[in-house]
Amino acid sequence: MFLRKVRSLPILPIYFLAIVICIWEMLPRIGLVNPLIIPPFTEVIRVFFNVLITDEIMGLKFTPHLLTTLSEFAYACALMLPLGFSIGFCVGQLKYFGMIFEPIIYLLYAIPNLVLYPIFLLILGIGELSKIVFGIFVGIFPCTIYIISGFRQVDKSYIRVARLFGAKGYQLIRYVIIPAAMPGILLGIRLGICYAFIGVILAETLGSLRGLGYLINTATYLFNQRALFVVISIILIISTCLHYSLRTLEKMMLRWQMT
Amino acid sequence: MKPENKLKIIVLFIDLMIIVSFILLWEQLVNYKVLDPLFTPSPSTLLKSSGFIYSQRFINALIDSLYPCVLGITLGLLAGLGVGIFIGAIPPLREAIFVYLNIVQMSPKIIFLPIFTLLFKTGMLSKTLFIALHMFLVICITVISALSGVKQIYVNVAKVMGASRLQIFREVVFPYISPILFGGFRVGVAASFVASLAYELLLGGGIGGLVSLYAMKLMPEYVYLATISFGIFCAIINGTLILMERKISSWR
Repeated sequence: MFLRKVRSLPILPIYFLAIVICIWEMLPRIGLVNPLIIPPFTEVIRVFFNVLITDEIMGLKFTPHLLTTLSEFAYACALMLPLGFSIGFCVGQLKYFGMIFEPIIYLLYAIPNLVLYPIFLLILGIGELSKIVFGIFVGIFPCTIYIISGFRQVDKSYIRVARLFGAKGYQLIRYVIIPAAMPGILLGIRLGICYAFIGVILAETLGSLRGLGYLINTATYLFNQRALFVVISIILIISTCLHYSLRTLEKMMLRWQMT
Repeated sequence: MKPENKLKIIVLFIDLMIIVSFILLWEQLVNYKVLDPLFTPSPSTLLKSSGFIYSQRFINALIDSLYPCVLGITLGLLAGLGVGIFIGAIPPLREAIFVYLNIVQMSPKIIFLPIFTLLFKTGMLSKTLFIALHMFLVICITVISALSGVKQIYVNVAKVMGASRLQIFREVVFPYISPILFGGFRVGVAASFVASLAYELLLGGGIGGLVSLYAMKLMPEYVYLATISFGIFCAIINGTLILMERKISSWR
């Protein structure tokens, strides 16, 4: 009975977060964890709001770094999504195209993406271009693979019925195939975008002159743990917002399927 | 020969032709200086220097990379299984924690590397634990999701037949979740290789350290050879795990 009541409460994750925050605050305060390594939660929050108000972190302007990361991410998404969709559509819908290119896509996907980052750095340099291309590279495979499976799962009877009603070429794609493949397409887009963000941050941390990844490196070298935790929190907030907003959008767009 | 087999052979031939054309195009682009040979060596240069991958230095670096990977994967797997089963068995706990596990999983985990190196210092321990974190997250999330997907009717039937809790887990739950778990294991192994490489590229040691060293010395042929061979190595392991996964889940 009690468990059932507890289960019905929607605020369990908030309770859990509160407990974690209390432990995080207490451990450095009572000396169980070195406060120089893990600063208390309230200290991090203080620095967090200080950064928001003064726009300064470790003597550097914060907004340009944030904008650099976001612009790299936006460029990566803007290039990755149409490319991923086009490849996914061709491989998923065109039989021979799919037979030829699907093994190559899976072969490339099997290689851990980070392995090729040093090559990207050598060819494209340490600037923003290498981050954008790496973001595309990390995001495009999950995006394409889920879009392919989305197109593959389209019920053939829908297409037959639409053909009987006289639908052709563009009409068939626009009104039958794409809406039927929408769950796979949206899942691919969500995963592609989330992975592109991971790729951009990964690339920035491994070598960059600007961006949130660069701030993480700078905080590490300067041993500024408060700033480090603030940057980590900001990255976590961005990735969480991204993930959940895309998920909500996905649910909204697929609401017609539930009915 | 059956028409499907004939088609498969033709497709395989076309795939090989695409790969060969890519290599030839790369060779020509470097020869005509469209790609700078200082940063992009031609495939023929790579072939000439390919003895490097049999050198003691490369093999030692590979072992340096793989040893913490094996330790981290084992540790992450055991911890992920234990914690995942524990959380998955208690629904309120699952509801409270699962969302945060997902958040961490969907974020770039390299941001936690500085905390690991400060807590456990640079070296084998922090590297193993950083790899274990990647494996742990994947396995834990997979186990929790798989446990919540077990059909209650199977459990009820086992209960009616008088099975104990251990028997239900061993005979009903575990066979049900094992194919999903193996899929998670494969994803976790791939994530662990990425974690190991990220650690090494930043802090040295193993294949990543070797790549950084040769990149600094401006010896791109060794950078390419080390990355390509490590990539192929990981792809072979991944491919083997995919085949094993298909075999294990074929009964479904």
